[in-house]
Amino acid sequence: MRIERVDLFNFRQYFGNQRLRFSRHDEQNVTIIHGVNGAGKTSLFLALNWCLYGEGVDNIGQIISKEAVSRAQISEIVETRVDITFHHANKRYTASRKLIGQKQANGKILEAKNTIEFVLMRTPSSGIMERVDNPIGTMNTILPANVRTYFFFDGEKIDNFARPEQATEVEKAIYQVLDLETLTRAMRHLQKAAQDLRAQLKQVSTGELQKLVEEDEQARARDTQLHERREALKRENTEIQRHLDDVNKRLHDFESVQELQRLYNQYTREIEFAQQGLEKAVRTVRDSVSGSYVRLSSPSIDAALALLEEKRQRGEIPSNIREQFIQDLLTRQICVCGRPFEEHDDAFRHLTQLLKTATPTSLEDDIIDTTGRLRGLLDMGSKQALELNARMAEQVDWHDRITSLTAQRDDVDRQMKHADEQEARELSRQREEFTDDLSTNLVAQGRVEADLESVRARIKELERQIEQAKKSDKRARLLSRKVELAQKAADKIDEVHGTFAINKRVEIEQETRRIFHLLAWKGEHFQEVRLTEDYQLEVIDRYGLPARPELSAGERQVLSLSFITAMAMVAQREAPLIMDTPFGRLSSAHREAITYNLPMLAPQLVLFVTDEELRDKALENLKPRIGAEYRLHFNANTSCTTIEEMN
Amino acid sequence: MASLQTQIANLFDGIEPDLLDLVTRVLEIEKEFLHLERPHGVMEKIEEALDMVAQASIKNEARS
Repeated sequence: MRIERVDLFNFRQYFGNQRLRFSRHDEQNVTIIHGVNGAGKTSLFLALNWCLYGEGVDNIGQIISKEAVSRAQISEIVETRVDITFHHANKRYTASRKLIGQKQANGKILEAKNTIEFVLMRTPSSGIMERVDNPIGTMNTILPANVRTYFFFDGEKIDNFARPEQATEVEKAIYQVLDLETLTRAMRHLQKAAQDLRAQLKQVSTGELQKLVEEDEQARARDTQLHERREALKRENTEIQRHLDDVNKRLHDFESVQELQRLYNQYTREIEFAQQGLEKAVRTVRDSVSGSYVRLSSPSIDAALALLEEKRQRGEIPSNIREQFIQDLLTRQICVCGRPFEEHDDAFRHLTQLLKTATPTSLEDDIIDTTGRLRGLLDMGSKQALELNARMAEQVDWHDRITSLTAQRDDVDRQMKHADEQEARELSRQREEFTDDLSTNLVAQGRVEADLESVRARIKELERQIEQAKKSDKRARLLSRKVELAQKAADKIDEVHGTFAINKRVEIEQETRRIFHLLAWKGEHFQEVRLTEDYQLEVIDRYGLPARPELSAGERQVLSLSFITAMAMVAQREAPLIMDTPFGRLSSAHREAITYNLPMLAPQLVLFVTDEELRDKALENLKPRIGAEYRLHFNANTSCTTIEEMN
Repeated sequence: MASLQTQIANLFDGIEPDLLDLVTRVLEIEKEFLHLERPHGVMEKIEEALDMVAQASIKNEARS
């Protein structure tokens, strides 16, 4: 990130539009803003923090130009705004933050609600400017708000890192600037995700699918077995039937039993016909029973009719007075007795009241319709009952007929067993055996078919259950993969985090040492700078002894500055170093060392200085690196500051 | 020297592609929420990322 320009509008003492252009030059990368105490350096510093991060301002009254408010009429809208244009990763951004207020009768300003405070525009390499959807998030990926404090700071207050009790601050700074915080959070959140997902997985995975699949396999094996058994029985029955036909045919050839055989065949045909009739009757009865729900509902229908009748007798439905009748009276404004009435009369009010209790025409129609339908259902039920009785009687008739025909055929069969011819008797005996076998087989076939029906119903049910379990299983599989990925990612980040933190701490230590030796004038005295494992910033003197407690305020400031610069360099963060009154507490030796070295250590350096803290050799050091220079002029007559660009 | 992001990304070199995809997505999400001390919605976003990566991983497994 390199700042191109800052535009202020009615911001604090900066009345109207005012602009500063920061130098983005690689060599002349320093921008100096001169100003005496109270000229507006800190306001400018605040403008940067407020615009980019919305920080440092509680209400519009703290930042709006008092001059702008004083010039506004009562109820007039007044606006304060800061626009910052900067470059980052080959894109140009303009961050714009504003607040709008309305001047009140007491002269104060009241902030308007629902104004879009922060807007971030981006111009990619394509050149077409676009509005960024998530401006705060994007700004924080460019330079996070918590990291920003290590790049935009008050020079007089940066000795914190060098204080003995500030190890936590040092660690926090490293974590934030080096994105270790990102890794820590990612690891923590992934572990939490894995934990939550494990709990979910426990709930969905029960091994149900496996059990169902096993049962399905068994059921299908049984289906195959039964199917084969049924086919075998069918084949056997066909064979028996063929034998029977053969026996019957042969028996027909014997003259002595020819008539008996004819009768036997006739009874057999009639029995077959009767069996078909019986089957048909059974089907009809079954259908009638399944459709006679109305008959079964007749007690409920009777109860509903009785309820309606009771309400009718009590005059609850429909009421004696119809809605339409009252409406007509009200329209004609003539009473039933023939007397006219007018609106607001007692009669009018009475009729209006009655209208509320009158039965609407539609409701009355519905009641009549419902009663009719219920009675219709009762009739239908009666008809169904008669039909069912007739079909059942038919079924009984067919059954009786079969019994009678079978008895007659058995009688014929018995007579044939006493035939004159031995062979005819033998054939008759064989026929009996075949008939018995066929009967036994048919019973077996019926059982097999019943079993088959049951197994197939179970298979169908299992298919449904498996489909459902598969859905759960799919979820379990996905959850399981998610748990695995989340845990592995958390473990890997943990591993990387450890290695990265150690490496970076060592790199920062080396850089801090190098920079401190460049900036501190007593570089020879302070032999070593260490960043310990517990994040203590330590200075070792030439005697090998810890020297941090002896550091002066200026030296602590230099050590902190060295640490910040080292962090920025190690983090490879392309961010400007913006320092408010950086040299106030420093002696000339430190000022000279810093002004000489610092421009080389930061991509863009912006210094808000008083003339007193930047002069002589320090100013001379900076001059070749200055790309832009401004002076803030505070006008005591208007209490406003103007920005003057210096040549 | 490579940028910090590249340095971090390099440390994940060699890990399986699904895991790398997930780590990259999660780090992006965390960066987006980094400025918030108590980020609301970060878990939902991580869950979404996990879901996408896990589904893609299962699909790839089925293909191979």
